[in-house]
Amino acid sequence: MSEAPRGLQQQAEEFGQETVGLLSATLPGLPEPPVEILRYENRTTIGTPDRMPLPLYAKGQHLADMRLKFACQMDHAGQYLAVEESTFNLLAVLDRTPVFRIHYQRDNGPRPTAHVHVHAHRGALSHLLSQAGHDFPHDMSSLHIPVGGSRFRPCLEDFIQFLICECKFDAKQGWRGYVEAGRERWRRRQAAAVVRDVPDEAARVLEELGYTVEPPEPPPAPAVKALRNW
Amino acid sequence: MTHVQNVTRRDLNKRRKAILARVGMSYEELKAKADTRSLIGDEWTAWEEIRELDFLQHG
Repeated sequence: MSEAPRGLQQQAEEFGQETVGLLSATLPGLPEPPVEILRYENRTTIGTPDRMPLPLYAKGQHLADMRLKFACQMDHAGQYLAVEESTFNLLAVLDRTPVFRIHYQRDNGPRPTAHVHVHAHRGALSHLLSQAGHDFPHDMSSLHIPVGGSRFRPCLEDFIQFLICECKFDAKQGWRGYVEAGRERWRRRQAAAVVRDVPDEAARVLEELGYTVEPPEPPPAPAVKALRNW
Repeated sequence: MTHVQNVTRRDLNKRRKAILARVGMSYEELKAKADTRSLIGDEWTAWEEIRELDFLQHG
């Protein structure tokens, strides 16, 4: 007998627990708990509580804050918790303004679903955007730099490793193992989603590897929207 | 263990009021600043928090 699908509440708690586990194992000096989960009707948000961004330290000095949020609801089949929008922000303590933001919005109109905002200034970029007729040529953060679409977007583990390895924020001993295990878990889930998108492709590759694959009747049609969106 | 807090419309409205009070603006004023890319300081986080409440209330 197959297991009954777990509901929104249970899946949100599991996701919240994974997020707490990752944060607590990687970044020092976090508030307890670092994440709150709110639910209203069939929607939930998982992330840093209001007014409580996560402090980031460099050589023990509180220089920045991290803010993260996942906005989720059950998928169309009512089986899996689906992320509609996610935000990973690095905010400077100095002016409480974002420095980098990794943002994902499943339905984002003409803009890339997964994108990075860089809050910085570069005269040459402003000049060329101005000449090209951009609406906000002096605001580099108005650019949505695409990063892999729905299926291949960066995960929270990528953002945490970026903070530790590239920005040089303090980390807890043994952080790398948690980040790598979490990233593997994320990419396996995304791989499963891609298989559901294009089962014909998955079957072809499995057969190349020597598996015998029997398609159901009728075979499921590929759903390439998530693979075509930028 | 992190548990789900089941919130009511009243809870969400209370949170919304507190966020707007923090930055001393109405929803429309804060949205206008976001639309014209002129948010500063704490307004950034306040606007994101408001958008998250919008998601919970309206999807």
